[in-house]
Amino acid sequence: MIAHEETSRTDYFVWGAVIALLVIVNVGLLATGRLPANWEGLGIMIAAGITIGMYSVLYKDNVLFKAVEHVFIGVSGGYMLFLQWHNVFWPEIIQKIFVPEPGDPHDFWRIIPLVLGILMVMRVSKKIGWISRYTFAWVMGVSAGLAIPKYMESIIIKQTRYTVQNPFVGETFDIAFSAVFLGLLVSYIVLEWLVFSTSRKSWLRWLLIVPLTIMTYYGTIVGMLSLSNVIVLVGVLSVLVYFFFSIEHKGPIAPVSKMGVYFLMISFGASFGYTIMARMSLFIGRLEFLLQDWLGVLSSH
Amino acid sequence: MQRATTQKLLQMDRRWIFLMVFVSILVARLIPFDLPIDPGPNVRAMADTIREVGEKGGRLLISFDYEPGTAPELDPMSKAIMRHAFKHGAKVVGVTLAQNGQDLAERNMRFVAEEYGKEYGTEWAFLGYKPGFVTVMIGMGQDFYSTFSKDSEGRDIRSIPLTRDVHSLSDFDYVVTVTSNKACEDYVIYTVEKYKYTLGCGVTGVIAPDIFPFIQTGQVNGFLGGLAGAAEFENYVGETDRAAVGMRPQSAVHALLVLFVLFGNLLFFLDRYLARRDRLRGQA
Repeated sequence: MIAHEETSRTDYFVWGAVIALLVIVNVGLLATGRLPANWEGLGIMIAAGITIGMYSVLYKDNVLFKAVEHVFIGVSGGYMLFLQWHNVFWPEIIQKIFVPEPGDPHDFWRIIPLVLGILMVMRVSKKIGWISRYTFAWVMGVSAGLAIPKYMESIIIKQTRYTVQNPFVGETFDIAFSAVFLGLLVSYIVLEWLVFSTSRKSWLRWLLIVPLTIMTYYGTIVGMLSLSNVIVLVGVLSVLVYFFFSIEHKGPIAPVSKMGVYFLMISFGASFGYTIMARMSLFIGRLEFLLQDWLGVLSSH
Repeated sequence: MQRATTQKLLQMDRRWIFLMVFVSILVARLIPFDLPIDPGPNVRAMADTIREVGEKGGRLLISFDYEPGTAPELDPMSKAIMRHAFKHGAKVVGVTLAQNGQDLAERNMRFVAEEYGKEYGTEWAFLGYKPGFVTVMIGMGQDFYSTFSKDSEGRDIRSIPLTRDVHSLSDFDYVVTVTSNKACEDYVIYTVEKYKYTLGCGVTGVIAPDIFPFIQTGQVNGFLGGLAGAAEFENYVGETDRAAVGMRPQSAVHALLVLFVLFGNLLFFLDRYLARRDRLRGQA
């Protein structure tokens, strides 16, 4: 949610100038024939205006943004309603029950989901809203019945099976590499527990963390399966230990739990990186639309 | 250095950052330059599987499970997959489980099919949208015809040569979902184990990390993650298009953000050091 910001006279001038510029650019594009003077051209102009209006909030909350935001919500709502009618309500319910195509029988079984759907809508009433619980109970029951065995089979059993893989596979070098990695890892846990946590020379832990990091990086670059198996196993176990709250995280549990935190942080970092890429892709897409489809100043390569 | 300077920089107006991101994207998009794009094993696996399906004249199902909001990220991906499939002679059947994505999917399919001069009905077909998501996936596995009995223009799929003998998902040589939602995960959970078929996933960057566990187990055989995945795919199959072009501004903005993170951390530690220095001076 955007905090309310004071609108100054300068802001009104800026928004007015932006709108005037939009009008001038569009007239120029139409006059020079860069945009066709038809529905397609109009669509591109509206889309360009809405894109700029949406991104204008990055400067400041403003009337242009508010306007396009409301247009977007209204159009989306109307469009969804139309799609629901066109794709679901008419072909799947009304047509199948009451006006089937020639040769098809009336499918009266569909009255049951129709009634359940109507019961769900009763939720809007304070007086008889309780009726919707029957539909929710049905949905919950069916969903749980479908999901639980499938999740057990595809997620829990299969994932557990593949978490515990032989860490010593591949060439002799790979096996030796993984063995050294595992040895360093165990040494780190033991030393963290017995020495580093109490010693004033805690920086000594970096003598193990640095080679472990370099080995992980190298193993990832060359795609070493044995190392991957070790990391998956250690990662899963240490994160599970971190989320195990029934015992206090001290003694030998503390370094393992700490390692779990590192694994989680790396995972969050990867998610964050991917999210940035996704958001930037959308922005690049919009920018390409403005420069290529609207202004026509950009080639596709 | 005075602490006021670091404080000022740490509280810099975020609009400067927006402006720098905008300028970096613009410059990188306007000035062409080449970047090394190395296809990873998951990308190669998907491309190789599609090529093998095409070489034996097999059938590929593409589930276009995304809506216009994520089209800039996933359109290049789905087009690259279709181009690769058509180029090697695979027959492509399209469906969508995203209600808002129906027109988008059909338009993209038609566009690429016309580009390769493919004939509707024998080389490609689009069966449109069905509501229900997971139930549609299960339905496609159990009885494909009862789930998609007609194509998007109302023709009975038994009258279409390409889909005449399709009874289940396992009748496809390869199934690929291009998705911005949980479709990949749900295909794995509800259908892959039971109906025994090979699945590939092309997903947005946001959900890409969720898919990696399924690669390790072999439940997903090929995977494209975000625009980078699409660019790697384009590069591997030798058909560079919008994804590869989009990676230029993408890389520029990533480099800028890394600099921001480094600069922010540097300022943070510098500010902490200056605060301690000022405190010690005050005590003295």
